[in-house]
Amino acid sequence: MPLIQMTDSLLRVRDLVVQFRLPEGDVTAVDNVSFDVAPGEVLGIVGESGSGKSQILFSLMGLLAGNGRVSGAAHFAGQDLLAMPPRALDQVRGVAMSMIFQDPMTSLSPYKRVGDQLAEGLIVHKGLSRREAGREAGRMLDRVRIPDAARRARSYPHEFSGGMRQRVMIAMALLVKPQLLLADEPTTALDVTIQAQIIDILAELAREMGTAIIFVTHDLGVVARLCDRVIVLYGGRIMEEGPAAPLFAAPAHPYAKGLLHATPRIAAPLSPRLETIAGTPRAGGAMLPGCPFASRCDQRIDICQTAQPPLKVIAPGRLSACHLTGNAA
Amino acid sequence: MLRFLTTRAGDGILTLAALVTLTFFVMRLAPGGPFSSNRKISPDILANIEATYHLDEPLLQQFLRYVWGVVRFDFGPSIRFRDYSVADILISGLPYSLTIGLWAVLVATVTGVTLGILGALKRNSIIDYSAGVIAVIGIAVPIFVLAPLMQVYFALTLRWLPVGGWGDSWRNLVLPIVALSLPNIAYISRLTRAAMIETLRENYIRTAMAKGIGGRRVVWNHALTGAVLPVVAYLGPATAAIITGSIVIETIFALPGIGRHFVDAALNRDYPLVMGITILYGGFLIVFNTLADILRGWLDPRVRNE
Amino acid sequence: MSDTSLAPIPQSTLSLQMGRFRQNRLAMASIVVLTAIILACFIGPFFFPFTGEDADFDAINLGVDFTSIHLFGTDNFGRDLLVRTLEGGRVSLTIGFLGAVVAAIIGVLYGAISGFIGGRIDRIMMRLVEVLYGFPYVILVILLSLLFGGGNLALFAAIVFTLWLTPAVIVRGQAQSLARREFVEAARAGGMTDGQIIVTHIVPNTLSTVIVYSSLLVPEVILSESFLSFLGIGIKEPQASWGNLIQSGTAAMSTDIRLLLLPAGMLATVLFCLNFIADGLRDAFDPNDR
Repeated sequence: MPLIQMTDSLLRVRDLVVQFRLPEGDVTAVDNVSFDVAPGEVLGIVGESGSGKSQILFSLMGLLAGNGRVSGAAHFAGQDLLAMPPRALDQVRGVAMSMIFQDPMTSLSPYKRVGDQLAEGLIVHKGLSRREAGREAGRMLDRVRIPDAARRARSYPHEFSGGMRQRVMIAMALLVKPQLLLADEPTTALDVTIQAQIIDILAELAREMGTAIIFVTHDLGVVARLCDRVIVLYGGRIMEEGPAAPLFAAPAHPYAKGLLHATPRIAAPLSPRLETIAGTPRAGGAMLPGCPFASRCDQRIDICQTAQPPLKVIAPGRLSACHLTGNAA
Repeated sequence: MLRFLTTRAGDGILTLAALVTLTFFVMRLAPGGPFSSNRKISPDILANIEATYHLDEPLLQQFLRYVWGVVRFDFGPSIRFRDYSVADILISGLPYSLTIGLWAVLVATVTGVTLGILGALKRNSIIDYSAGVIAVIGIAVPIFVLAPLMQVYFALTLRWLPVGGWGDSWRNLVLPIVALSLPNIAYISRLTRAAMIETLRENYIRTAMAKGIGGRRVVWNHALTGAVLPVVAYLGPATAAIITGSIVIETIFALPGIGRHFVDAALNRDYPLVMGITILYGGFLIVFNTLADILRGWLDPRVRNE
Repeated sequence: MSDTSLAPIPQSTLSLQMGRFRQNRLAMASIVVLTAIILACFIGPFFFPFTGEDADFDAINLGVDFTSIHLFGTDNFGRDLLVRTLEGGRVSLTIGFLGAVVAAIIGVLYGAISGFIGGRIDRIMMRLVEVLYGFPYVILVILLSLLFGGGNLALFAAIVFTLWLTPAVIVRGQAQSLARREFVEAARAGGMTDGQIIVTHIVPNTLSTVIVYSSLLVPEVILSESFLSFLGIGIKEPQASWGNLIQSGTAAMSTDIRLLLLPAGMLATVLFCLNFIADGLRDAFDPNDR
């Protein structure tokens, strides 16, 4: 049972488990994750690569790889996304819920005009004619600030730069005016200078449309700037969750602390070397006893190796999963 | 597009020129001549005949004479089939060879692509396995084994179809076309299957799925292009394979096409006929290669920009 | 999936690939069958008191009889069919393996040089390959085998000459990307000549691809050989080859299909095995391919 209950949540994820069957055995990528997203809210999910954050989004969209299995529930607008057959899911994804992917270079079909790729969703879901859909697509490209949008809609993806392609992806995702947008590290593959522009466009349009966003990233700067609430994920489990500002000001969980320390800050005095968290994430998935972070944690006590710390309320709206923190509840 | 076509035409002429030159000299340098075998001809008559075909001239002069002829679409007389020009022989054989060849290309492409796609979409299904079996047979059993076996079974044992020859009925065409297309069905279905599986793993397919447009539309509108492109690239080699195949198939099924003449002409040193067939086959190959390139450019905008 | 990282298992690539290959039952079975056929072809004929070219006019057109010395009977000259087929196998297999090796060597060197040196030489070399690709392959083989005066060696040369193109193109692509790698830069900085770099760095690094493709060349060479022999251009009577045995089998098939089935079955079995082995190698070396 999640400790923060929302009365009006748009998305309600409960006990989400994602596992992959590999020749070496089953691997758990997401381990019992529960959270809510309110309408219009921007939720950040942060964690290092391999923490399972992208798989949460894929499982919601029904896009897990063939060897992936999912359990739990994800109620979106009254329906359980995880229990829906693909055909029913097609009435939700690309309609009320859409997704932006990590790699804009490969996420668009190289064989089709950008405008046609955008228009397709409108034609299928809203029954627009090719021409109407094309006009809408052009307008949307204009809104993501692609210069000369009407003409560029007739271009192919290889004629766009990476940043421009990600704008196209954003336009495609928002064209259907979704209630929920899933963004999977949308800026990771881009130049630093372009990242900020993309984030701004995304944030601005989502606000105008009232779209909620789940923003998956390992870039804490982006999260701080964009998100209302943050989930810190490690080894497929939620380590800490809470409103962005207080969490960044005073992280409770040792892992969250380490993560924040590892982010270089311009304002901070120059330290001789970049801070890092010692060690590497443990392999073999998360279905092992104890805290997944235990082996790298500098505050480790005996119980950390044997018992999994439960998520506990440590302050109003704030949760942490650590044996050392928050017996406030 | 026009520039593409002119460069391709230039390339084609270059290839053809190289082919003609190579064939001409290889042919002439090979031991033996058109009249060296069996019958004893008196030296006078031999000299006379050789003069008729200009075989007594220096090689280079003969070559230039031949090239000058080709430029004017004069391929000379056949040495073996007296009273016939090479052009006559080619024109009379062409309809048969073309019918068989084009049908084989069509059957191979349609069947191969269909089997490959179905196999890739329903992996490890019955269709996938039967396509795999057909592919293995088509690749491992040469057509000169397959064709006689088909003759024995379908013509001699079951008596469903004629053993060979060219009749008025479509039934004469079934066995040759099936035999000729089978290796290509095998190759194309494997090519398509692998390409389809690879394409379905592409990120843009995931994007299309995320649009909720339905699996069927994703396959037909988005994945198909990627799966078919390697097949288009194979069109050139497929044509070459069909040409190769038609040489045996026309012999085995006693069809009055061009392929049947080639081996005979080569063994009997019928120089003009060998040259004529070579030019014709080379031309076909160039045309189909160009066609494949145009098709590829039409399907893949990245190729177009090169 | 970038999000499911697993600790890599430290193991050499080659042993991993060979391990994967060994798990491929079809490929392993093919190796067993192929080895048996090779042994039968090269040793088998010694167990018979006659060769495949010995005609016995008292025993013409005998049928299959496993109790007699002529297990699979004789042909219309009274020559033993089994022994002829085995002897034909010797020729086909020798040409097949040797041809593939020679074609691969030529292709690798040509491709490595072309891709590594690059620039104008590369353009000219690849242009030549393109022109040769534009040739109708059979015509080239037939003409070349005529040029070399017929016989086994001519046939061999003609086939090899037409089959080195594909390995050359593949190796060239690899050599091109290898030429830009750091260790090649380092070798160059260390004073190695182009020739030395090609031999010590480029060629060894293309090896796994080359192995996969040469394994595909073997059945191709065998097929070409039997194709030409079938047409009467390759290996000629009285010497036996699978191609000319199949040809004479076809001539007699309406009355006695046995003469067609034995050599054809043998050829098909060998081609099956070689293709399965090649597939297995490809899967083992490049698991992402399918």
